[in-house]
Amino acid sequence: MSPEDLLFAKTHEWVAVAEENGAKVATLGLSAFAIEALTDLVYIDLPAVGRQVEAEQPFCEVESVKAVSDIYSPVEGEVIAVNDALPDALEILGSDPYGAGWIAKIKITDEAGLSNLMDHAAYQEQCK
Amino acid sequence: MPNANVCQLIVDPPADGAWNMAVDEALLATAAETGIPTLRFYQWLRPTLSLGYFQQNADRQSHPASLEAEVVRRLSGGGAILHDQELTYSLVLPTDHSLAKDTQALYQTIHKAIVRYLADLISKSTAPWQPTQCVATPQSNSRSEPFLCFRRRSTGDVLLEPTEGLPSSENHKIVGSAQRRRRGAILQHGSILLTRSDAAPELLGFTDLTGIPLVANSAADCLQLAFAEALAVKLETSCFSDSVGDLAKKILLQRYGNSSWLERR
Repeated sequence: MSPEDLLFAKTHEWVAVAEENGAKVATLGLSAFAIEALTDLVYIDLPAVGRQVEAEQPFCEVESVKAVSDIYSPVEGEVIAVNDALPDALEILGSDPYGAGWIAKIKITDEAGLSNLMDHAAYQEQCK
Repeated sequence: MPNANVCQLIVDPPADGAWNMAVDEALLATAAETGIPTLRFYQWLRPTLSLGYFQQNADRQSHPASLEAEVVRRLSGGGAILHDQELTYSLVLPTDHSLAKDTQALYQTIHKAIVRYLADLISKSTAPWQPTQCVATPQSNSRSEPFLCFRRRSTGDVLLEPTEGLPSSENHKIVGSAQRRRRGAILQHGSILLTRSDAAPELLGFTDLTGIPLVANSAADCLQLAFAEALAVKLETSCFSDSVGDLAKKILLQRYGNSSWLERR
């Protein structure tokens, strides 16, 4: 995916929304800017499939050498898939943050959180 | 709007590990909401092992000397620390502080201030040691790292290095710090090893190595000035507010005083 086609949260998650089996599904990841700022990643704690998540609440954690950071869900919904390859291959987050580095898919139950997201240009402004 | 150049200073009496961790988390949560930075110094009532957030509780079996010690899981990353003969600091910076955005810069800034302080102490003695900061190759996977933080080496760690007689590789890590980010705010807490603990006898402290007596309270007095200068802030002595205390009590019940938090991994 191209970052220009994605939406971004102020907490540096990216979101791609698509229709899957009649439901709106958000695919989430971390922006390239965030990955670079976090530096050397050593752990990720993925959410359980089936977990209900709330908009703007933490649902996943990542450790970079000594710093643990929360990853926030920009939308409310149910985790329907996680990228199981990540815990043993965290370098994917840096090498392909907007593709193979996706973190989770969430079936959206409330779209309100989407209105708080930025397009790529606005997100880049935030990162300056 | 809080004054960004003012940082509240809290010097706490020794407390148990669960309470110490609950207060640090409450200060982090409060900073994220109120914008108030805090520098805190504290000690531990009893020898206590703190596990890094992602460490396995079962892995403490690999360190028999500390098995009798109390144990608590930190909110921050890194390896396990045996808190005993040490001074612990925590620094919480709100979202809008420039160092909250750059975790490595914060790590380097605080550790540089500690290096300057230790170098000043050593300069008044004949101890053949010098404090320095580690330049390490990043680890790709901390599962292969030693259990204890003070056995690990990361860029920016504070080491004591011999100035004569021994190769520089015979260094000792003397300060270890770890961080937690939350909604853009950051908590960095760390330990300054003063003397060896029976619960981690393989780790020598500053006084063991240099022969220079250093007690926690006087170190805290000097380091607060060094940190204030490094952060360009004015310290205002305080104690934590009722709201922080209430939040810490709630966090204590939910997390650090609850075995499920310790045993989550």
